[in-house]
Amino acid sequence: MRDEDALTGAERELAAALGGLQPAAAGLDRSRLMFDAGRAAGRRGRRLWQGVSGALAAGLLALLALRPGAGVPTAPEALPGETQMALATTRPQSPLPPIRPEAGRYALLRDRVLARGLEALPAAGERWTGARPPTLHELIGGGGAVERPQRGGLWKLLPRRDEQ
Amino acid sequence: MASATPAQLTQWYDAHAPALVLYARQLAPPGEAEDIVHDAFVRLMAQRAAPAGAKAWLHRAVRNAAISRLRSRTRRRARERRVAAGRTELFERREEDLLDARAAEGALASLPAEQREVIVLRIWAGLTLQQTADTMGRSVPAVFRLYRASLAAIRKGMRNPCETKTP
Repeated sequence: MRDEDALTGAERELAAALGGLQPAAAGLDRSRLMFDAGRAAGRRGRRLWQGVSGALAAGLLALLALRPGAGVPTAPEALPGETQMALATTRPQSPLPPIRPEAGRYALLRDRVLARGLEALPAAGERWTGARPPTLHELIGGGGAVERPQRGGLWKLLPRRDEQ
Repeated sequence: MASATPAQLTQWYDAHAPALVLYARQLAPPGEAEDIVHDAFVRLMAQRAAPAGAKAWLHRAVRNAAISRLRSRTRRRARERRVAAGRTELFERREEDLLDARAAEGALASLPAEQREVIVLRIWAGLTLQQTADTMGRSVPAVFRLYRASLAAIRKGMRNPCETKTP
C-alpha cells in the first residue's frame, strides 16, 4: 500500500498544496557547516590512528609488565634431591675465617662471595697484611709475575719459579 | 560501507537542510533549530560509514538532539509555547504557492507537537509512513491516524478567510 492511497481526495490535495510550500532554511551557515563537517571527517581518521596507537602502547605496557622475569627476582624452586643455595641476606652466624693473604686464591674468594654474598669480602679498612700486594697472577692461582707488554701487546703471565 | 564524501554532504544539504530546519523548529526553539541541524550534519560526516538512508538518519539525529535539549517537562512546555507563538518564518513567500505561507504557518503552529511532527516528516521531509513511524518511535497505523488528524486540523485551521491567501 502506498502511503497516500488511504487518504481521501481532499486530504491528498491538501497534502500536495502544503508540500508546495518551500521551507525556509534561513539561519543555516552553509560555509561553516561544510567546514565543520570536513573537520569532523578528518577527526574521524585521526581518532582511528590515535586509537591504534593507544592500543599498541597499552599492549606494550602489558607485555612489559607480564614478561617472564619481571619484578623482584626470586630464588628458583629446588628440585628433589638438589641442594638449594640460599642467598646471603644477613651476616652469617659463624664468622668466616679470614682470607690468608699468602693463599691469594682468587677462586677461593670467588667461592666465598658466591656462597655468602658480599659480606664475605674483606672489610674496606682491612689492610693487606702481606709483605707486598698480591699480583694478579697470584690472585688467580699462579705464583709468578706479570710481564709488561711491549707495544700494544698483551700482558703476559710468567710461569712460577717452581714451574720453570 | 564507505564514509560520506563531501559531494554527498553537499547533495544531502541541498536536498534536506530546509526540511530539517523546519522539523527542528517544531521540536526546539527557533534559536536552537539551526544549531541542531548543523550538529546533525557534522555528526553524519563523523560517522565511519555513511548510513544507508541519510534522510531518515538526519531526521532521527535532529529529533534526538532536540529531545535531549528538552530536559525537563517544564522547560519543554515553555518551549513548545514559544515555538507555537514564534514569529519565525517557516516557509518561503512565493507567488506561485497555492496556499498562503503565513496561514500555513499559523495552522501548523496551532497543532499539538506530535501532529506538527508527523506533518513535517511526511510532507516536507518526504519520509514514508514506515520511516516516520521509526523516527517517532510509533507504529505505522498510529502514525497514519495521527497524519490524517493533522491534515484535518490544518484544513480546519485554514478555513479562516483572514488567514488564507487571496488571489
